[in-house]
Amino acid sequence: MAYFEIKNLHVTHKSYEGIKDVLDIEHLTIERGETYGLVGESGQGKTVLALTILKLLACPPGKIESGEILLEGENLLALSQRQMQQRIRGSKIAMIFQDPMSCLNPVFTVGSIMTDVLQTRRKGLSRKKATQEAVKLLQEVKLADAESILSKYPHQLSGGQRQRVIIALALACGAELLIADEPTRNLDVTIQASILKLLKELQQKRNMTVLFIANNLSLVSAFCDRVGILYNGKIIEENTTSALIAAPQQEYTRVLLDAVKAESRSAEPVEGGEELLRVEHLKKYFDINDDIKHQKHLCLKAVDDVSFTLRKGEVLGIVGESGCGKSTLVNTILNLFEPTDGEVWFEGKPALGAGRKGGSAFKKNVQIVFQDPYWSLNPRWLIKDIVAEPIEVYERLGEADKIRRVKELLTMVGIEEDACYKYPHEFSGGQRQRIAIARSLASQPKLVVLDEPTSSIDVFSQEQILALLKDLKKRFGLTNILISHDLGVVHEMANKIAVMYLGKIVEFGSAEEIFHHPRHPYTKALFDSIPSLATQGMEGLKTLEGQIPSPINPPQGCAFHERCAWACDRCSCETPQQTDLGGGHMVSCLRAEELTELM
Amino acid sequence: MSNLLQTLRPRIKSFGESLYLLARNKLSLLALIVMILLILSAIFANVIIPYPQDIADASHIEDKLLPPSAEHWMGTDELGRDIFSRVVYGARVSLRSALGAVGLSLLIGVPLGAIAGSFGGWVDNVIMRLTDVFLSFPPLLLAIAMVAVLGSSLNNAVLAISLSWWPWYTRLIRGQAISVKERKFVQAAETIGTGKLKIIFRHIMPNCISPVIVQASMDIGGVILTVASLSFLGLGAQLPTPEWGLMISMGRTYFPDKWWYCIFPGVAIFITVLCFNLMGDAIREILDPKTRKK
Repeated sequence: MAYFEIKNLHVTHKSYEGIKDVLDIEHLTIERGETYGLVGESGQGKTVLALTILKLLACPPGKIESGEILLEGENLLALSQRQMQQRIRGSKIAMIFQDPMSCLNPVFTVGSIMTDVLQTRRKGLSRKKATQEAVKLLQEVKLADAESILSKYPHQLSGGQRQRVIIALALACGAELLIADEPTRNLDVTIQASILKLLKELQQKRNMTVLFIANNLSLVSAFCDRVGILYNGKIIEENTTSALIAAPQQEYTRVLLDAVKAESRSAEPVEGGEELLRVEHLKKYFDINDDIKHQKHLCLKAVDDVSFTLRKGEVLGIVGESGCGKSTLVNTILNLFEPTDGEVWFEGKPALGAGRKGGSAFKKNVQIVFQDPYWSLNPRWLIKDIVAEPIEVYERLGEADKIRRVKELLTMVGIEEDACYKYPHEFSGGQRQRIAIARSLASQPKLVVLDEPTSSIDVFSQEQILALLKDLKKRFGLTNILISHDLGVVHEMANKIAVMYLGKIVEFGSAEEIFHHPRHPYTKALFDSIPSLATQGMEGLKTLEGQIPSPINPPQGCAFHERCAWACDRCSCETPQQTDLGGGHMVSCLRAEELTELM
Repeated sequence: MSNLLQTLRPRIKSFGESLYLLARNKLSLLALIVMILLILSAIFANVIIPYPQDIADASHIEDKLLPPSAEHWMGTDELGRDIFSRVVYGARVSLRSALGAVGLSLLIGVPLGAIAGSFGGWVDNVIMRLTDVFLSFPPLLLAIAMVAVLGSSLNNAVLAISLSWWPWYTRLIRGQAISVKERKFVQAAETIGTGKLKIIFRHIMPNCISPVIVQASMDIGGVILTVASLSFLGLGAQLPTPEWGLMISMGRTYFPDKWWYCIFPGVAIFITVLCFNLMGDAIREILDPKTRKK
């Protein structure tokens, strides 16, 4: 008898459009101690499955039509909510949700959340005992300084710390089956690696079984023994991890694999034309008004003395952990934020603080495509109005001419013309991103900023969007700035790369150089912590220890020295200057020269 | 023409979807049907009512204060007028004044709120302190004071009510606008170079409007009550207008012997207010999926 088994599970969802099948799983078994990876994109039914197993699915609109979910031979679907609560949830099956920001109650301290859970589960546990237990659990998930964390509120913890607290909560009652629903989704790559390592260790130590849900095959390849691919609610392929990666049977699996294999393709080198954009010593500090403590002169240095030059036809990729200032940098260049200091030159003319007229010429020439196409299109506008918005601002066109232009733009990005009279919610994420691209091109710009253009759309569309972007870039001779945490995307698109850390560019150079010969320890650590298909087992996954320091109070000397494996005494007192290693490869590291051999 | 049809098509679809969501709750469906009946009877009051001349000051003293019968479904009043006719016609008076008052408050409150929320800073401060001034008076008291200055009439009562009502919408919209202006499509419009006013009125405001629609549909019930109260106090509709509050006020001297005089206008107020409140709940469920019951 298998430890965990799903048989003929059929779940439907009822809505205005009618009844839709969301899950149709014929058979799925997980043996004790196994790690099973369930991979699929959003909307394929992964989370519905997790909720169904725990009997937390909202019914209606959901409905479990038929099937059995067996845990050690016992059918969970036949149990009442009360029995689930008492015997299964928490004590036998625990779940880690994907968003650590929203699943800890913000009005309680970590300590009271944890002791509360412990005391509910184990009747008669005194408060003191429960606190001791909580400390032990926090130490088990490797949270340094467990006692002080108990007295903190969730918002005082970083994303990685919160996810560790949630893992501790999941462990609190000795669950044997752990459902991890994209546990690293909103975390940084560097933190992602350490959370995965922790989960693996805990699993081995406690002999747990893990159902690991992910949207990305590269995460699973390092972590899981077996993988199932979920597509449209069905498991279309299942195999051991290595066999699945080596010989995928289904087209969909191949697409998923290709999406994470992007490193095989790299951007074509571009002869840089004349200078298009020059950023000089740009600074953006945010004042922090701490009214309660009356602390003055606090400021958050989101962008701290950044300079670079972009030539016509180049694609600059900006990479770094979240909070490093990538988005602020771009928003400041785009004039959305008032810069604290510094200058931006566009085609040899100053772009910041220019008069109204000059400003609008700059705006016409510089457009942006945002990360999330669900929020970047006004949900109450028709597509024709959305795409025509820049045309309305810069050109006086009659209604008929305007519609004709909109249709041209839509055809160009591969959207059918009758989309004009639809609302954004009628389109998929990929299609919406195409519409956003069409809008960004409507004013015939020269520079288009791409802020994580593919990170919130499914893999099928990702490839097509990248191809479209490359095609449009060629056709119109565009210059791009690309922000992405997905190094595959950066590798494919960018021919120059800037690595940012705490508001500063720590390394800048051609993509070729930076990918193959990273000179800054941070760049190297960043690249190493990203799991790829080649990563076999958790040993291959390097982690970058420690949290990103607060940009309000950055460390003395080199901002990275606290987390750097190569730091020496000098690093903690001397601030490194940008040095040119030749060929425009700039790096801010005191030991750049010596480390070339060491790394 | 075809353009117009194409523009309307998605709206018709979303209307169908809303209707489907609404029909899932039987109580909301009932409220919707009763509300449609109310509105229809208000529109076609002249055609429906059996004694059209009774809505003015016709008098048939010989028929005064008759109990409900086949001839006079709700009896007659002290001048022998048919109460059924007057109650049905009263729906027109009440709905018109309620819609007028809420509409006027929206007209003042919504743009001010959108401006306050989008601009922030001193503009926000000035507008919000102004709303504070209006909010510091109890609405009924403020209305009474204004009617006392302007003179008693239904139109003045409507004006007075809207002047005491708009700050609520301003606050509601402002709160929404503050969160909507952080959305990406607003930033997108800024990078495109769209003008500030266009951003406020075409991007931000339409996306703030949902909670206001919910609030307004619930407020209609409240405003009907307030109009009735003012009329009851003699500060709203004047004789011989068939206004429900005024009818109750006139009928209370004959209560409880001639119960029908007060009861039927009272029941009309009760049903109308209840329906609008239920509709408000239903609209909220449609517009905000988070509050939907499982």
